[in-house]
Amino acid sequence: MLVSNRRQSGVAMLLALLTMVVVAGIGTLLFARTINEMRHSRDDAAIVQTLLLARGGANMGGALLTGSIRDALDAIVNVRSSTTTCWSFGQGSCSNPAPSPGSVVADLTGVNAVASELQRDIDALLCGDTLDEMQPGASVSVRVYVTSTACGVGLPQGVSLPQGRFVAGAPRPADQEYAIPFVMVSEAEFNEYKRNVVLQGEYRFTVGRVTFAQYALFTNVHRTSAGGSDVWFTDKTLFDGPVHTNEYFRFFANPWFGHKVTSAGCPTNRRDVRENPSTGYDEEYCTRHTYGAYFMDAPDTLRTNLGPNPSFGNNPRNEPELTGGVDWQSEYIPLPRNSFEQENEALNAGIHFGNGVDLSRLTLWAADANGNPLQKVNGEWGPRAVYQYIEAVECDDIDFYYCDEDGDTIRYRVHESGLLEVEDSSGNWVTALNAAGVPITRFNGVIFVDGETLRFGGPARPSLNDPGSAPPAIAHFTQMTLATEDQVRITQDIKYEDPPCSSAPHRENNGTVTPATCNDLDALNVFGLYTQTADVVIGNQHGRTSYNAPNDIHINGVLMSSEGRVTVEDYDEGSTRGSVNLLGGIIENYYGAFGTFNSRTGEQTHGYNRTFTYDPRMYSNVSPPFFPTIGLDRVKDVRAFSFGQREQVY
Amino acid sequence: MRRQGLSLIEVLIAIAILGILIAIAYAAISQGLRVQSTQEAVTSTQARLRRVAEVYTQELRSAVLGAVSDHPYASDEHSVSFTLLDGGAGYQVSAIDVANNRLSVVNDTGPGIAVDGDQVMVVDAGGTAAIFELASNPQATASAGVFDVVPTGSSCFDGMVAADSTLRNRNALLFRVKTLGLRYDPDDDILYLTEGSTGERPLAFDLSDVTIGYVYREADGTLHVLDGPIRVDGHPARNATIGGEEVELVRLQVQLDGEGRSMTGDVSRNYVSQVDLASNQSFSVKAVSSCS
Repeated sequence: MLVSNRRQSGVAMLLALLTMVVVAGIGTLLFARTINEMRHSRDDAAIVQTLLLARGGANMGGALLTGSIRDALDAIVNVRSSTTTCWSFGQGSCSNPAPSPGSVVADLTGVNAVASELQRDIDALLCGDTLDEMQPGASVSVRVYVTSTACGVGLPQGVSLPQGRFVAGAPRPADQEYAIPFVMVSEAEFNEYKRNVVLQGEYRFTVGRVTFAQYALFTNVHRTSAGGSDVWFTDKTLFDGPVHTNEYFRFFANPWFGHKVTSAGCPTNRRDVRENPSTGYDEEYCTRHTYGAYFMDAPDTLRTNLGPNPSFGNNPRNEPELTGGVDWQSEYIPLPRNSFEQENEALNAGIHFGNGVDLSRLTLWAADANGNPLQKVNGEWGPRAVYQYIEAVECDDIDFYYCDEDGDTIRYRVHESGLLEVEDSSGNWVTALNAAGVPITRFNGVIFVDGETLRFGGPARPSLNDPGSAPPAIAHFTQMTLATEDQVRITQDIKYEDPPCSSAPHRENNGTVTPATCNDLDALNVFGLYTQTADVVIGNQHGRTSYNAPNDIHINGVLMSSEGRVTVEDYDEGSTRGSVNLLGGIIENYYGAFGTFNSRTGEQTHGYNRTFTYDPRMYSNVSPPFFPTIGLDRVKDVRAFSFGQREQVY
Repeated sequence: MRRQGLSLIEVLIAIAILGILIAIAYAAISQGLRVQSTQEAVTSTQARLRRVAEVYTQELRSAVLGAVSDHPYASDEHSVSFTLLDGGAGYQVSAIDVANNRLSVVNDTGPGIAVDGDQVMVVDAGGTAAIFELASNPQATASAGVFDVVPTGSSCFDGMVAADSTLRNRNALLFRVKTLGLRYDPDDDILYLTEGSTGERPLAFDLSDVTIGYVYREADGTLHVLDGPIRVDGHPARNATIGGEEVELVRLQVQLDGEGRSMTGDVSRNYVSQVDLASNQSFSVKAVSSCS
């Protein structure tokens, strides 16, 4: 019995073991293959992921070339480009189509040339940064070579850098394009995997003289007048565009700057005048800089050796928010000392009011086909303008502030095609002629007044207390500069038909700043107002009401006064007037006052508040036509492109 | 009386049951292995094709200025040639002397550009490109920092825009390159690769077909997939016309067909990939000639 049971158990056990062995064998085989497949897939995925990381690093490098590296190049070009010859870099006769290649090489990629300095800035941006915050185990490092060494590492084996060159352009005042070759190496690691991408290309940049319109605020002397009050930036100060002074800024509490702040640190007693050999005109220059700024805790002490985030005092803490960076040792930028170019252009293909004429009134409006200002229907201005109207009333008898006797009325209109017409004595429109008697079929946008403009602006508001009721003054296609020899008084709103921005930057209750909303940067309309010797004033406190600007005035455009200031008349008298809502910038010799405030409560007591919005188009080379240019080169445009790339070169 | 052991009948029944169980298990395992084998062949073939496609497309993506050429192979349905950067990219060409078959190149040293036997590609201001080998090291000229480059072939620059000393042709550039060609041989099912002046070597085996489509795009986005590049003056052209419409070669479409062996026979798979050719508006190649 016992023997039989053992035999039965033995057979069953044998069968069970056999079956288990077979199943286990098959299972192991399947498991091993599955594991292999998984490993293979994981390897494939990780390798692809690593390669994509490397490519992403190269994309980031490309973005830097058109972003931060562009800014660095701009600063270098600003200092290194020639201010005295017709070529920004290199040398050669101005009658040649290009500077000599060797001289361009020396200036761009020679010893201690532009490329060397740019390499230092690039290394400061990229070296030591492995971008390892993306995900655990992943990191990317990027090197950009414009010289043979970047981040202390030589070029990859077998790769070399050509030299800089002139690409296109013509002698000044034309823009010139140059190129610096570059090599970009992007290395990615993901766990044990490594991949690299090597990209070779050219960094092309266009150099030229940019206009003053690029500034949100520019002061030559940061006071209200010669020997006038110091100007302090306070909590109420919000500038979202570039701000520059040739002198010193003064900070109280926490003023906010959304763009770069630069000051040249040139006291007024360290300035002189000399001839600029490249223009032949006199210009101011700084004989000795003392770089720094003032802070309210010690208002009479010039603080020098300032860092990027200076902070002084405790109650309150004087700490400007310099969100766009700061350069306390910027170049001295002289304001223009004449308006010859604007007058010549007005004579050539613009509108010229000459012989010392004073204008009682100058009015601009965007008009329909019949010359009517646009109408607001359901919150929108319409129809779309087809004409820009310009109406000037000459003044035959000026009595200091006012025109006692109006003279002729001259009416122009500019079709969106550019044709400039003038209304003749019979009320017919005929093509306007320039100073040489040639029909102006393409208006160049310049209006020059060889005298004072007593009242200037767009159409009057149908509803005086409603700023939104003012029709557009500048048609959507109009690009215009009004240059005057004497003072201009703004007495009406000046509004674009297509404003690029729909809101201004403002400070929230918690102290943070909400930037402006600017969604129409393709808008074409642009306006600039430039007076060389006098002030741009906003009419205030006049007995004759037509000489006063409305409350909460809206001004779209860049306002500039070379020797004066942009200010509100009698800003410290009368009732409060709301805000000057400026969409553009102010460039002035002195910092003009707009109103007064209770220093204890901060409440407005007289004049206007400032509600300023920078027009960001101005930083992208948009400018009113023939607006004054600064005497230094700037990088107007950069293009970084690749001739080809290699993946996993080493 | 109690029985001792199993009767014959019982043993036979047990063996029969065991036999049935083993037969069922065998059938199941055998079928599983066949499926596994087929699946493995499919996976393996697919992975192989994918890997070949990755190599293929990685190289194509690196083509200098996205240009297709006829060196070392005439580009067609089964072959494609292009160039890869292999040194400096973008040397300024100050003169193209068409008549005397030489170039002048700006650089601080001659060997820094390339040396005897190196392959280079020159692109003139009009976008016409030529690939050639240097007959000698670049020779210094009377102008400091300017070197003459002479090709091994003759009439290499015919049809190119002649630069001159006044630099009117400032956008002629020279690139040190190596040519790269991929050729499929349907007779032995092998994809070959030729890189630079080295000989041909196999890149992948057991490919039943490799076809290359040349995708040209009209300005309005209409695509034309051709089995070879359009030729202008006999050279592969990046910019051409089709039916009077201007077109640009924007990408290549590569289809790889491969077979894998399994327990049940061969399995076929194909892998199609498209590669956008590099391009930029500032500097482009319209057609490439080869000079040897």
